[in-house]
Amino acid sequence: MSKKILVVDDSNTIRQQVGMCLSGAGYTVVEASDGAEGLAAIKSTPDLAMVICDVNMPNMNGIEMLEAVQADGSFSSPPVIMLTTEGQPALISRAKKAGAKGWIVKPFKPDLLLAAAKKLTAKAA
Amino acid sequence: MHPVLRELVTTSAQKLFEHYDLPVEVEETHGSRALHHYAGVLGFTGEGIKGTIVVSANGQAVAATFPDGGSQQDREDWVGELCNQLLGRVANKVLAYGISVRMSTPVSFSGTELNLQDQSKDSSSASWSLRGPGEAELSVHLTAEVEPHVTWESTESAEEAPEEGDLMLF
Repeated sequence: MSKKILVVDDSNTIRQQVGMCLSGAGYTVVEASDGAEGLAAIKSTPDLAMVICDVNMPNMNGIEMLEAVQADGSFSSPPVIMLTTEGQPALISRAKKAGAKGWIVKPFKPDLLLAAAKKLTAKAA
Repeated sequence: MHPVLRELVTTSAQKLFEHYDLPVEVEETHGSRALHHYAGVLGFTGEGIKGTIVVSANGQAVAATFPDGGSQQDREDWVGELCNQLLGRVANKVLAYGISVRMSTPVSFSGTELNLQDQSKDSSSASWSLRGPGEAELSVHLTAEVEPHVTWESTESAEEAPEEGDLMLF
């Protein structure tokens, strides 16, 4: 069975591009359009192998989503990598503290995104 | 508008569209503030700076950078994303000057005969025309109100952002 990756981004076209990249490499992709939807998806999808998440989104941003996952503690979070236009060291540091495993500044290079997915999903069943 | 910011917008636009295999000639324009069919807008604020950026693109520029086609809504969304990526690139470069910018999420729209107010006499505004191969055309319109204490001098202690596309694993 293919590994499942959640893509959280408020841009439908980014979700499409990331989704095509991942599904072309054999991953199953599920989508959420903001941090609140992403948080709900993480809680309700225990077999997620990884999450790829934007930072600036309406309702709940990506770092707030990470912090909410970390604060809950009632479930284990899959590895999360941030995919964003933001590159401020303070934000990167906050995401790392909240449990993020990686950071990519958009626009992404498909080969590097897939390399990250391969590495971070290696432990998933 | 300070020459440093003008140069950052020019080089950031060139680099961004290079990534999408759309080499563009970037030229600053004066007077006309006409928008192409698809447009996106973002606001930004930071210590001593605030403003808006508008990016517009015609159908050929959208097709060249988002070749999978998609719906009208997708094409609008994509130009909003290009606006987001251009401002993000500029925001990451101004960190070197000690300026940290917070960005809104993009709003995108489409239409015909869209024109922004002529602000050619306003020194806080600037516009650029981007021409790619074939008929691909885009425009960028930046308004940045910058307080006098912002000097646009880079400092050794300034923060640096990672390069676009690079992967950092923790």
